[in-house]
Amino acid sequence: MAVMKKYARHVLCAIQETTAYRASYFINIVSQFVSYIAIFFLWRAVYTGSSVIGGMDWSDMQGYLLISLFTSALISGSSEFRVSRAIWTGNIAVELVRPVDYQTANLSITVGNGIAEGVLVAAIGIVFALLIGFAAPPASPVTWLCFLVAVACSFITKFLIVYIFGLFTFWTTGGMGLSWLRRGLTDFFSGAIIPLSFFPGWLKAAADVLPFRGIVSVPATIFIGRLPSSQILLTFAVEAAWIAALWFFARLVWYFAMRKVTIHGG
Amino acid sequence: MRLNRTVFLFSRFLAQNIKIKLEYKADFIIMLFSGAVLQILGVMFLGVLYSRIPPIQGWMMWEIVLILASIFFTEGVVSFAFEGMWRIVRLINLGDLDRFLLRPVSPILQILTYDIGAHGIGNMITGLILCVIALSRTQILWTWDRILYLPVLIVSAAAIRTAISFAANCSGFWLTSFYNAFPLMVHQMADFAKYPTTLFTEPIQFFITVVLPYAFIGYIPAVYLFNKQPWGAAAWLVPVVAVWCIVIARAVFYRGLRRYDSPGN
Repeated sequence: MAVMKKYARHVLCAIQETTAYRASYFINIVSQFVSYIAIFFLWRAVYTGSSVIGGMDWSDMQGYLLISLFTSALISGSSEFRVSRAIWTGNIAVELVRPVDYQTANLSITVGNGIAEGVLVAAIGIVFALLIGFAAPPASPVTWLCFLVAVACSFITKFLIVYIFGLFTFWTTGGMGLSWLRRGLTDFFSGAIIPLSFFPGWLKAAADVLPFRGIVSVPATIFIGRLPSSQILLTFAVEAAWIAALWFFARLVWYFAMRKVTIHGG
Repeated sequence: MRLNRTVFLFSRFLAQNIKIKLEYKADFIIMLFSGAVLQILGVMFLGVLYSRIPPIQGWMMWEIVLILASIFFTEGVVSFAFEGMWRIVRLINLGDLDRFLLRPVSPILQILTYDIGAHGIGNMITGLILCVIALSRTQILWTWDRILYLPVLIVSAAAIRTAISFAANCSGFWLTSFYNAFPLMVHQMADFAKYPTTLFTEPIQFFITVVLPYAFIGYIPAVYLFNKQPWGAAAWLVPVVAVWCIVIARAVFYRGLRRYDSPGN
C-alpha cells in the first residue's frame, strides 16, 4: 500500500508540473494538432478521387485520423526527453539514490502527464471532429469498452518504447537522434500516418508482428469498427505479451546500463 | 571586410564543431542514420499511398517526391550548418547567453554555429539521392533559366528555413519554460510545404505563403520547374522572401535580447 502511495504521488506531481507551465502546455498540444491538419487535407484530396481505398471510406478515414491524433498526443514531447535529459545532464545520479524503482516512477510521471494533457487532447479531438464534420462515433458500449482497453495498451506500449529509446542515451550523448528514429519508426509502423491496411503484403506482415501497431492502428480500427470482433481478444493477448516483453527488455537494458553508467561531472 | 570575417569565423566554428561531433562516434552515426531512415519512411509513405490511388490533383508520385527530397536536402543543409539555433532556449535558461554577448562577434553568428546537426549530413545525402532518382522519373524542360534557378533556390530556401526557425526559437526570450514546444511547432508546419499548396483551404494557403512562407521552399518552385501553372515565374520571388525573413528574424532576436536578463547565480 505504501508502495502504491509513492507512485501515486509521482502521478500527482506530474499533473501539477505539466499544468504549471501553461503556455508550453497549450503549445505542446496545439503542435500535435498542426501536423495532423496537413495529413488530413492530403487524405481529403486523396478521397476526392475514389470512395473506398484500402477497405476504408472517407468517414472511416476521418475517424481513424481522429484516434491517431488522440493516441499520438497522449504521450508528448515532455515525456520523450525526460530520460535522455536526466542521463545527459547527470541528474540520473539523483534518481539512482531515490528509494523508488526508476521504471515504475517514470511510468507514473508519464501517466500524470497523460492525465493532464489527455483532458485537453480529448477536447481538441472533439473540436477536430466537429471541424471535419465527423459524425460516426461507435454506437455499442462494448466497442467503447474495447476502445478504452486499446487506448490503455497503446499508452503503456508507447511509454515503454519511448523509455527504452531514452535509456539508449546511456550509450550515446544526446537523445535527439534516437528520439527521431523512434518517432519515425513508431509513426510508420503504428499506422499513424497511413493505415496498415494500405500496406503491401510483406510490409503489413512485418507491421502485424511488431509492437507498434498497438499504439495507433488497434485503437483506431476498433473505434471505426474495422477490427473484426473475433480478432479483438487475440489482438489484446498479443499486445499484453508485447507489453510484458518490453517491460522486461527495459529492465535488461537498465541492468546493462547500470554496469557502464558514467555520471557527467565530479 | 566584415563579411570576410564572418565567413572566416563561420568556417572555423564549423570545423571545431565537426571535431567535437567526431569525438562521439555512436551519436554521430545514429544521427546520420536516423536522418536517412526518416526520409526513406517518408518516401515509403508516398509509395504506399500512390500504389492505391490515381495522381493527387494532377501531381504524380515522383513529382511530389522531388518536392519532398528538395525539402529534405535544404533541411539537411540548415541543420548541419545552423543547428545552434535550437539551443537558444537552453542558452537563455541557463544564462549561457552572457558569454556570447561579451565577445566581439555577432551573437547571432555565435548562436547559429553553437552546434551542428550530424543528421544534416544524412539528410543531405539521401535528399540528393532521392532528387536524382525523382528527376530521372519526371519530366522537366531544362531551359537555361531553370538551370540558373536551382542554386538560387537552394540558397534562398535554406535562408528561409533558418530565419523562420531562428525567429521561432527566439520565443525562448518570452516563454521561459525549459521545454518550449513552440519552435518545434513552427518547424512542423513545414509539413504543409511537402504537398501541393492547393490541397489546403484558403486560410491555410494564405498562411503558408504569406505568414510563414514555406510554400516558397517546395510547392511554388516545383510549379515553376514542372511548368504546372501560368504564374510559375513567381518562383523567382524566393530570394526576396528570403531577405524579408532574415530581416524579420533579426528584428525578433534583438527585440528579445532587450528583454533578456541573465538568470544570475
